[in-house]
Amino acid sequence: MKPLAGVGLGWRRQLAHRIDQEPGLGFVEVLAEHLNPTAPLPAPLLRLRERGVPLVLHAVSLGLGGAEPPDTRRLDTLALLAKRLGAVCVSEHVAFVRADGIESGHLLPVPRGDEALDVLAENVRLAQAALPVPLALENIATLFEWPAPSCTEAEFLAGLLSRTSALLLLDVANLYANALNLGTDAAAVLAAVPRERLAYVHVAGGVRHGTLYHDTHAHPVPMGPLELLEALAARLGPVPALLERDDHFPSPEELAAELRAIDAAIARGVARREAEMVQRPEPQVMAARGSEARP
Amino acid sequence: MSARTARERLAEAQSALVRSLAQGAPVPAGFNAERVQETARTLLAKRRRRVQRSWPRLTEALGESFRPRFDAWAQENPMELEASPLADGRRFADALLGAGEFPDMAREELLIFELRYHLTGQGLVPRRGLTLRSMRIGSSILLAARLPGGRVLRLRLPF
Repeated sequence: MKPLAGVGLGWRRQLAHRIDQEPGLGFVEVLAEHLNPTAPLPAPLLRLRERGVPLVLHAVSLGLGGAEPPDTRRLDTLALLAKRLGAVCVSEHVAFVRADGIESGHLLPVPRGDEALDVLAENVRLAQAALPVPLALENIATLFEWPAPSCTEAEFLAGLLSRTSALLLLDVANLYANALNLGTDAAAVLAAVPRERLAYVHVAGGVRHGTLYHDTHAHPVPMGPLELLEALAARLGPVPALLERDDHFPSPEELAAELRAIDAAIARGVARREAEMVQRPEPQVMAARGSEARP
Repeated sequence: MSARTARERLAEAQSALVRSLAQGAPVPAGFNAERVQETARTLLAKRRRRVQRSWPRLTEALGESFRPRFDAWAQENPMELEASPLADGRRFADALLGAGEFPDMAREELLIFELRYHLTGQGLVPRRGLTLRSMRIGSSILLAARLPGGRVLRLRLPF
């Protein structure tokens, strides 16, 4: 796929005017479930397409982690929308959303075991075969895990990438939430991301209620996800990153500041990477950096 | 290894978890029950909030009783086919209508919904072309028309 670059923003009706006015957006993500596949596309999306802004089609209801193969009707709809938008890729979650005829209305985790991974990988391959553009898979945030996982989140991710040819949409806000709520090893997950498989990164805000962190997409982005983004850029170099905001839309100034903060986090990571590349041959410098030194 | 396939085993496990989350069935063994229940509360709150946004007049009319009524109904009636708040709210409205508890104040909202959509076994289907509906609200009659193209006209009699 044509590689994405820069900082992007998730298209929402409430942000349409802002996105229309914003010349600096690297790319825009469009929610598949908000579009009527048979009606004309909303005019602001057509304008973005005409401006040549790369568009990604983002879906939440395919349920790739479900026990059933992905529904062909849903896949046909996604394929049609991807074509009409001229989307560079389609992204979906590593999650299941329905079982036994009940819609959860939520992204639910899949068991981290070989058997579930086999089913997931097969579902991913079926989806890829039905879509006209590459498919990127996103890690979700969850408050609970399945019992007795047979591997870590990083190992599961690596297993999924090795069993399929899908791309990765790494959500650093979800990773941050899981690190806080479940003790997920965020550094290990970042270390498992191959640059050539990374389509883009999601960044979003959330809020802490009591002991739990909730990935709401309705609050400011805390430092945690930005630090993970910085660490990722320090390992991989510049990565395309997109802000998701779904509710309690901030003022144009606040939104612009969040986009700049994402850009700045990537720039800090890239600077760290460059500094380390220069310093790496100098053993005394490595020693001086102490525990922060990277192998 | 049993004769069941990986998909069948996964379907059974996911079904038990979803029934726990959506309908308050017991949390399957081995899960952190507190976290699953916290997720169930989050899911219900999200479902309620989305219905409230899609049905603002019904929400306003029921006031503080919206939450307990919706929550009790929602546990008995999980979302099927599509996680659509418009359809979900329409089914909730049916339950209120059936119980004779649908508020007059929200009848216009229901009428407008009926002009635009119909709820079928396959989910919510937008209506096309010209649709006419009338409804008695208190001592007046509300006439409404959905024109081809989607515009809705309303007329309340007597003026």
